[in-house]
Amino acid sequence: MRCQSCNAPLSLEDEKCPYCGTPNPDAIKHRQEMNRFSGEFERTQSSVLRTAGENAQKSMRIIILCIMVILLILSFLFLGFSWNIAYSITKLQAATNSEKYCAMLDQYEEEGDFLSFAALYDQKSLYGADAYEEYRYVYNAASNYTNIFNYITRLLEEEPWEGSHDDALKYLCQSLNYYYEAAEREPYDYYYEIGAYDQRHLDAVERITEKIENLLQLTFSITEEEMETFREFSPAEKQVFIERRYAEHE
Amino acid sequence: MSKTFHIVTNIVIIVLAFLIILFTGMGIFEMADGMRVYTVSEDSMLYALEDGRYGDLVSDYHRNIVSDAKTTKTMEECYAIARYYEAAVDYKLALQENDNELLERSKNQMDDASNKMGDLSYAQGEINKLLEIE
Repeated sequence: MRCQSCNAPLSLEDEKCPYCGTPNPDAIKHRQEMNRFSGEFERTQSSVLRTAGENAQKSMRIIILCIMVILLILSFLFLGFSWNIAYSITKLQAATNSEKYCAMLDQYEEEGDFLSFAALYDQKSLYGADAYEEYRYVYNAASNYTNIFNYITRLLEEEPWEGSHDDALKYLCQSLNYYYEAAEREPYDYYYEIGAYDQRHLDAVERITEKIENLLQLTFSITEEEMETFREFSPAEKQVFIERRYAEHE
Repeated sequence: MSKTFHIVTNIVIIVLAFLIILFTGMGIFEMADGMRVYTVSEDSMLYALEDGRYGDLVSDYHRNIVSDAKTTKTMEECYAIARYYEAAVDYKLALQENDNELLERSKNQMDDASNKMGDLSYAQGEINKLLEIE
């Protein structure tokens, strides 16, 4: 580039000719354009930064929303499976303490304390753990014995409200039928394999049957001969017999 | 647009947080409920005693004993009544069956329980009357 007046060499930065002082229009135009580009660059830069910030915020919110939706699904599943989790933990606790609880069950079985036997089984939820499978036959009998004992004692006590004795009598008959059903041995090999029908368990159930029948004889004035017949009755016949006896007794 | 997006997401986040806390809380409550070992309180035992529901008292006693429930002096006395009642039923059965071994054992148990009834010893008379024990 050269000066239009003296033809001296000029650079783009020279706004005037250093020799004759004539203004350099190209340099002025260049400065104006540089100023314009610089402004545009700053505006573009700030716009890009602002948009990027907004996008980052949006992305962050979307990520938070996704995480919260996942947490919501997990909390919903947790709520749905909370009973199963509780059951698994209880089962694990029962399995962990199997040595202690089996010793207690054995002791109750030996002493004939079947109310404690059933209470321990229920309170510690021993149903699920494999270690207690062999006690299942005795438990079924002991649990029904507990109910029968409760209903019989209710009949002996004063009626706390009208109709409570009728209810107790109805549930007693129901429990009796459940008991005789539970005392029947299942024909499956499984029960033999797990030891549910070991002699000591069979003896225990026999003692429970004896206790129940003695209680019935005592409460409803049933003779030994009548008891023999009673055992052979169908569930409906048992109920009719007990209800009739109770009415006579009253 | 951006402002609307912010408002909407804020509301959704608040609703989701509330639901998460609610479901988790309910889950923990249900889990605790599923693992709870139900024991019988002193008040419940006293109500049973007051109503003359000795059979319930026996069930409550066994339930508390196997669960290692915390006891008080009054509860120990209620336990003694429950043991007395259970032994008294056995005593009646022993009399009916002429089972001397059971008769002696149940008599001892009744005597033992009778000494531990404390302020609630009036129940002994009521049980004897109820079961017609002389």
